[in-house]
Amino acid sequence: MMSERKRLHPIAILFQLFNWLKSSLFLLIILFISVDSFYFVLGLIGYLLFLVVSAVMSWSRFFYLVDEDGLRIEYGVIKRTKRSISKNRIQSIDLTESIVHRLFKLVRVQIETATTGLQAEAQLSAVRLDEGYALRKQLKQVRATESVEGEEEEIANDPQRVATNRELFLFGVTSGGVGIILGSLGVLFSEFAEYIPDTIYDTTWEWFVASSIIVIVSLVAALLILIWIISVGFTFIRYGKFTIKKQENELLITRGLLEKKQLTIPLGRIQAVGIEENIFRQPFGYVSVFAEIAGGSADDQSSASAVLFPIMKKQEVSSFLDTYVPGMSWEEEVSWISAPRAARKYYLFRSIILPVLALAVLWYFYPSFMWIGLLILPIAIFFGWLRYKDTAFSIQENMLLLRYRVFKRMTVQVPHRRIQAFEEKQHVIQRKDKVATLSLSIISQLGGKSFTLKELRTEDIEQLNEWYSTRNNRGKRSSFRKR
Amino acid sequence: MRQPPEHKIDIRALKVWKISAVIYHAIFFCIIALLAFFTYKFDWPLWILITGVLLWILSTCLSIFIIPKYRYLRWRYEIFEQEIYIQHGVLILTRTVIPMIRVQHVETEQGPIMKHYSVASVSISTAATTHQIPALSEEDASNLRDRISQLARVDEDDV
Repeated sequence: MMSERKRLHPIAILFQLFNWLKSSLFLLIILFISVDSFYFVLGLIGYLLFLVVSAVMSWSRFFYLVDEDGLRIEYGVIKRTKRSISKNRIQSIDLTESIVHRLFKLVRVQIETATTGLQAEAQLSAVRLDEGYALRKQLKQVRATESVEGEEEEIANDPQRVATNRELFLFGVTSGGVGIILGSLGVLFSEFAEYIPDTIYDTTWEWFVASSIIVIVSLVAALLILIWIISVGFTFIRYGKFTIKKQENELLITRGLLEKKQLTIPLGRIQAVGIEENIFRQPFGYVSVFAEIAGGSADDQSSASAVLFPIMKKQEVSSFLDTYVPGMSWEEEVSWISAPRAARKYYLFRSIILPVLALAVLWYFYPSFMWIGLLILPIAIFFGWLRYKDTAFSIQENMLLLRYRVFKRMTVQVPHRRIQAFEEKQHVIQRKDKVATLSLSIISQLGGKSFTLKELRTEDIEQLNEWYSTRNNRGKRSSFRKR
Repeated sequence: MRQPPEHKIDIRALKVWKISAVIYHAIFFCIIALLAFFTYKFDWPLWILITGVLLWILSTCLSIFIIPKYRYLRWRYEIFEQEIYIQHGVLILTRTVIPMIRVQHVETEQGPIMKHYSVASVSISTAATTHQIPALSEEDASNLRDRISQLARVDEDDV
């Protein structure tokens, strides 16, 4: 048992410094541009000194301690804070090793309770690797304290699945990362466009006009392939060695080649499971599996749900979920109740309204670029149609399956008891078509989250309402009356 | 469609809504007046002022004379043994069902105008959402609050 209070590894000072610098970077850049450079450098030196001193001080005043009850941390230079987190309240303990951590054999420990939000309840930014693991072992509450040997034995039999390189390659190739990289390159280019001298534009243009079509096409193709390869590389760095393992009542997920992340997901906190099919994977029958989890801090900013496995065949989902998330039995073939034909016009309207408006503006200012519309409009109509086709739900005893699409097709399975509220919305035009919008709320990592299915038949929603409503279970109408 | 909920909210809600709309529009009017002053002083283009005034007139008519009535007519709620059923919305009709066991806490709230008319609002929170019944008589509100929290206590489910 660790019983004396401990400090973090001194490298934590660097992390703290880096964090502060990162958050003040924007301000520094503005100052750099607007202030005379001599004073700027002077101010910067002063500021850095101040930061270094405060980082050292806050490190020297940060202590942690593990005892029988749980974890205690003390911090703060001027205002001292003592926080204790009881073992029983700890939901999960996540370990992350960034490149810097790995150089020094360190690990970052994040301790989560049920509180929802972006921040972990307690974070130890750098502790020794072995100590981090020991800490996790100590803080894990073992309900009926069994013998350690028995525990070890069990671990050997725990189901585990590792993503193979082939799977990861498929995942990277179909991730649509090309679009994201191209997009960010575009943004970057537009930011720096004004700093590029005109002569470069001119020579490029001259070259472009002089070259043959074949050269240009092959150049563009080469560029695309290069970007594609880079995006596959990024996938490997992020998801490399993806491993999911089930230990008693929790899932242990490890991933990352450079930055190793280890997440624990208590099974009891899984609110919903689902599969995600993007437009490149869907034709090949590949999906990725995710879960919505109550509480904890978001794994990354882009999505609030946790990836259970990056890619697998659709047929495998059922047995995968049976093994790792028991109680969420996934039916492969279900009968879907889709949005009615009357819904189609709403979907198409919503998909094309923005492009049409944008094109109208374009037509007004740059009529010669109208051909772009010929590219965008069919895509918009296609997605609108797909969204209409994919919107559906299905009731499976005490589970509800929802299917919808924004760009990726999502199929989510929510148990009855995880649905927090049921809402049905209908505006005046929808009423004439006898359709309404349904939205169901669940708890997610960032607090509440709702799934919305637009323009379902009112009678279908009625049926769903009957399924959801508990008013007829025990009671009649309440005795509550207005006076 | 399922039958709408049975109970209407307190009729005094109308007065509360109207009075708060009047207050907001008085503030809005001050901004318009300021705009008129700038237009006069700095020769701002006239259309800004005209748009502002038109918006003010439209918004005043709607939110003082028209919307509160329809909002009141639409607002319904009903408390069952097992669930709470709410309906509201003027242009977009919304119906919400909240199972009693999902309710995390209930609170009543009362601002100065509501205090004057002896009405209060009741907020019902689940772990994911919050729903508010805007105006009930003080007595009804506190009864409802106590009742919901009593019913919600039934079952200590995990999350």
